[in-house]
Amino acid sequence: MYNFNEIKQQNMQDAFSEMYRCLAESIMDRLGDMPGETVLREGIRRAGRDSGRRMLERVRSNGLSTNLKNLYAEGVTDRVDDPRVRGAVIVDEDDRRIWEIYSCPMAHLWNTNGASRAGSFFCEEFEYARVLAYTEGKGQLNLSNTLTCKRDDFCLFAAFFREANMTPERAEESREKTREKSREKSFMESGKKSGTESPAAAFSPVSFEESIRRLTASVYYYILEAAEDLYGEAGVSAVAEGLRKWGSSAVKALGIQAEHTLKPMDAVFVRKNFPVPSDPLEDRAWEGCTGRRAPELMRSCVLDRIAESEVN
Amino acid sequence: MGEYTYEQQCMMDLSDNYTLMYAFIGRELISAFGVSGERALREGTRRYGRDRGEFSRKRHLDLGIKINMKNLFSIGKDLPADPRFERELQELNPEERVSHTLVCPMADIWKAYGMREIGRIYCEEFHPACYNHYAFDLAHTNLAKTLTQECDDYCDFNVVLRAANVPDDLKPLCFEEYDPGYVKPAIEDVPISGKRGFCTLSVKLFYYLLEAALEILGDEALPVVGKAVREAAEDGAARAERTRASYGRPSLKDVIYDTYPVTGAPEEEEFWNGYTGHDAKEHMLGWVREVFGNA
Repeated sequence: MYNFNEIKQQNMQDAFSEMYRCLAESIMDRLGDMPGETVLREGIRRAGRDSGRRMLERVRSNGLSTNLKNLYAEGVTDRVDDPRVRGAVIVDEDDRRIWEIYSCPMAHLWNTNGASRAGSFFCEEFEYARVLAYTEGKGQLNLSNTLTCKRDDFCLFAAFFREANMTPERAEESREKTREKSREKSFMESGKKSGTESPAAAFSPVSFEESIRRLTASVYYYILEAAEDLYGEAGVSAVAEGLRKWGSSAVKALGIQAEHTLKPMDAVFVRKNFPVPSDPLEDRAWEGCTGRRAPELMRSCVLDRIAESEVN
Repeated sequence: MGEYTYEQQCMMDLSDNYTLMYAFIGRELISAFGVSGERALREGTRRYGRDRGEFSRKRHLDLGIKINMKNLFSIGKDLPADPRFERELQELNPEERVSHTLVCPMADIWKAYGMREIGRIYCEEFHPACYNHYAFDLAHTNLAKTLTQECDDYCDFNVVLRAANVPDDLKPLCFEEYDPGYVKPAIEDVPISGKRGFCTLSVKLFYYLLEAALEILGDEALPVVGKAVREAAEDGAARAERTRASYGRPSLKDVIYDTYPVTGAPEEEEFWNGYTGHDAKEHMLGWVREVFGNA
């Protein structure tokens, strides 16, 4: 049994998965199966690259080692799992990470809604692009099994980022430093004495809510960008149709979620259970995702419909 | 005499000697140069992988065969099957090849010689370089488990070439459905000899390891590679003597030729075509003759 906070997180996660499912369905219907797949894979790769680059910047700017471990380290990583994710980390080293996932809410939603194949595009492209961007093209991501594949009953990831494949500069930067040391350095540089200010102030972990809002904004934005780049107006139109489907689905889902938790489906409830804020332009999660009229399209196809359904 | 014919035993010895030449060179480079030695080993392994991938692609294009995963893993193999090898093939189609390797003689011999971690470098670098490059660098090799990794008990290959990721101008070269009127050519399955296969691969492997070592480590690498090649040849000579004794063969020299990929025999001359830079041939033959000259 999950607590209320965890249930809200699950609702946000499922809304993201449903957004992707609706976009994939419309894009493949409108543009054709193969062109649609090309758009989706390209959009996901762009989102994955963006995520990897942002993580590298985050780790770097906080004076941490830019090794593989910190891409995934709890409290450091900007990708935070839904509480339903179940898995095991087999190896967690500076230059090697191997992990298995036995239960994935994204795969579950896609598999139970006829979207396994579209889901597999996400599995195959996102983390691969993310690792390559974080490692500046020198790392590897191997995904030999996925829950979106009917042959498999778990996901198996293995990432490698070997010192011998890095530039000397990156090798130096990637060597393990303790977070305390890096914090001390940052305090020294700013002329503050260690202990006069909480070390946590120097580095703030990303919450699940921030993580899923960013994932939603970036995956949507980059799919829109890829659709427009490859298919112009027809691509944008396919995305808009997908968003409208998602809008309808979201209104229904939010209504059920509110009913099940004995809450009114008002603006507060939506804010806590949906991964897109009522005004995307005021959310840091949308940084870099405001071109191509992406917020406007999201507002007209999804957010306005939700707002109309909210109780005052 | 064991459970194998003399020909099978020779094929297995060739495989082991090829595998160990890599490991001896890798071990010596890392021992002498540390991370820089590993950098050279990884780079040389990637170049070797890309060469093999490109060779397969060219051969398939010359034969009029589509460049895809099904053909990569089923047409025109460059080595005969090793009787010790065990694999379960789970999926083979133009877009994907999924398989588990349950027994790999290469991994076994690396482990037996205490060089599993060197073998791991081979697995990590060779397979993506070879398979991805074969498919115009558009494939993605997923190899999350390998028998050379301490926590694994099989190799988990999932190599994919997604049509959606192939540009339109290359699609007809890769997939039949994008090439209207395409008639698949009849392919004659020509058996390849172990000697020919392993000699070809050993020349290439040695060439690229030497090239990367000289480029990255400088001339100091040369005696280190030489030491490794001599060690490998001495080990190969001992293996040949065991095979000679087991199969009652009269001439050790003949068994060395049958079981060692590169011995300097005139019949091996053609395999050096295209791989003579860096005086690779002179170096290699000089070192192996120091050992086999005494056989």
